[in-house]
Amino acid sequence: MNGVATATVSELDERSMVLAAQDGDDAALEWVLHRLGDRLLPLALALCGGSGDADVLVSDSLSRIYEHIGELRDPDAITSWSRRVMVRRFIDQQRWFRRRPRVSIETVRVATSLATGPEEIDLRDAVSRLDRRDRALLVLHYWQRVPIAECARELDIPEGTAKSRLSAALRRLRHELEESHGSN
Amino acid sequence: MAAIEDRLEELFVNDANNRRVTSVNIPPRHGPWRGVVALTAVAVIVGVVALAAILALRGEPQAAAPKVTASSAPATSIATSTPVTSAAPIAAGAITGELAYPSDFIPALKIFAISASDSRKWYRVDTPLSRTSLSYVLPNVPAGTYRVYAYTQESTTTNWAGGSYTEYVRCGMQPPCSDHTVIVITVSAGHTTEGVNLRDWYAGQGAYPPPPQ
Repeated sequence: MNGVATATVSELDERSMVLAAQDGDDAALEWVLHRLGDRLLPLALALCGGSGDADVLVSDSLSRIYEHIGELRDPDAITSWSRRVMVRRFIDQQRWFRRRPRVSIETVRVATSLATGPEEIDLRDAVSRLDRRDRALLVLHYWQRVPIAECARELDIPEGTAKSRLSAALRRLRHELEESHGSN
Repeated sequence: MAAIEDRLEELFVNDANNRRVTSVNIPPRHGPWRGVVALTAVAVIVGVVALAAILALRGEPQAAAPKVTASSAPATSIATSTPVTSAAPIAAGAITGELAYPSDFIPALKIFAISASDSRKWYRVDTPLSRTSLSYVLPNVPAGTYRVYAYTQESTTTNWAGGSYTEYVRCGMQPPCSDHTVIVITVSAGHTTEGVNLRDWYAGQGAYPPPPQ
């Protein structure tokens, strides 16, 4: 290693494609949005509990990225920026249908072993009843392994608030699951 | 039992992997016609305003004034005459509603909006198994009229179980309601058609078509 920053070919490609998209290259923009769509859909599905809402959320988020990609100052930050765009839109669902999305996606179901045991269903129920901001915190921190400080930035809340919300959400989930098991 | 953090991760991973993107539809940002149309519109407006000003200076009757107001009209007609290509934004809306199923849980379903004018055109969304009430969203449905059906995931073209939004649902699903006619709903561009509640699973064998393939 000689001290020169290294990057994988795909990272270099992505950076140059983002720059080209910002420069008005439609083909590069399409490439970037396809890539982001692939990356954002799993997160959207986790946020939306696997429901069809995820398609709407991704379409809406990609539409916003399409319209504002020129304002992104650091092309290397495209992934974290697009994730932030989507998480914030997830929290405010009213925005989704405010206007027609300019970018739309089509998806196909992939055969997976959907969790169908009673415990999984109880957990899914309990998570779906959480506030959207808390759900986003759980997904970002426990699945995407995003540090608390970054979660807080993405959700636009103080770090201390993110910590306390996260532990309160876990407490509530444990409580609901205990109640559910107690009643079974 | 595993720690709740681990179970959450497992749940999210499971949800995250249940669909993948097949295509992303993106409108062109700078269509060649857009610039020409915009310039033409500006030229027309400037011309009309100039003409009105000249006529006013000559002391012509004020009847010229409406022409200035009307100069905004070309902008509207120009917008609608912009060439539409396959990559143009889809004039689409969405359909939402609640799901029900004659059991204490709702199985994984596939939901179809089938065009009322051409049954070969349909739009689909899938929902997971749930033990609570569940709603669905069918996004990006082109403007038009549709009948909406829910089918269990195991349904095939030869053996299917379906529910729909019918007159029976609208009536309240109580006696004397008995009409199971499927309601044709309208989707408008940029709007969400709400309340398409797929609750009627009681229409009887053969009342609904098989799920599209």
